Amino acid sequence: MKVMMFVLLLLLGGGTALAAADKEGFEPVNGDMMARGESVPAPRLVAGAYGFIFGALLLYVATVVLRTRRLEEEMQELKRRIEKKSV
Amino acid sequence: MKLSPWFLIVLTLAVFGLAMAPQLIVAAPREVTMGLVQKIFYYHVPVAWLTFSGAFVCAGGSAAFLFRNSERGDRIALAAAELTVLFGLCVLVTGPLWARKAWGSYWKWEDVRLTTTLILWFIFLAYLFTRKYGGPGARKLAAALALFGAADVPLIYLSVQFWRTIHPKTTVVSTLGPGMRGPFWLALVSFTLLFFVLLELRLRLEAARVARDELVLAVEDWEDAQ
Repeated sequence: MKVMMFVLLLLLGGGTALAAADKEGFEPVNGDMMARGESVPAPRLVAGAYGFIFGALLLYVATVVLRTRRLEEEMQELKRRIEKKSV
Repeated sequence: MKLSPWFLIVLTLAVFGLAMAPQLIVAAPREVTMGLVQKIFYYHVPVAWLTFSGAFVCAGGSAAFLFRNSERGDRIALAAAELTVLFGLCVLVTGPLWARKAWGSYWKWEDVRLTTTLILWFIFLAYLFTRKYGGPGARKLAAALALFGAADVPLIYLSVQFWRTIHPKTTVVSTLGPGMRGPFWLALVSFTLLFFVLLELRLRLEAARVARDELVLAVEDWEDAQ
């Protein structure tokens, strides 16, 4: 439920930001702005892309390992309960 | 956790390939028009391929669950759906980073391939939400969603042939220069092996969850009987 609320808030936040951007309207372009807009350095984009992929994969593996460990602990606890009761 | 020799071999090959690929990608010739930013292609296409593969594996497992009541099919579908969302997110992040330099903008809504890929990602995200919060009957509903999602994959792949788009055509891989093919195929094969490693890890987690649930039921039955 908390996750769904978080996603809903995120979506609402995005919509509000878009609406705010609309109200601001257009800005007159000058040479300086063009230079700023076109000077996105390719190395940063490439590093961002590769970094994101490896980061996402590592994070995913970490969540799988954590979830597996938690399950194993739960099972150990259940087995302990059975042993305790059967004694 | 016990790991089979096959799993270890595939894992080793995937890690070795993923460690080698960046070196080959750096050494690969730069593309004439786009320059350095084209190097995103070497990982963007493999993760897109795995997003589509994940969607098909999920649909296959879902079909087995829907029509044959296969519990294993259901477990495979859930594992593959997670991977589809994971690799789909990588596609949706790396593509716009490439587009920013190549097209001058991160996203173009009129591009059918971009929009249908986003729809595919949302369908599989909906699959996971349905599984987690859907309550009784959610597994069948999610399975139907997966079949619906997989039907989007051919549309994404062929969209560049049918609609006007700025995306490269489906023939782009066959037109790669000799120095570009090696790193591309190495990255593709390594990522595919990694997909199987992650799928196996996720299936083990699901098997452990089933075992835990059975144990909980057994303990409750046993306590009731006492």
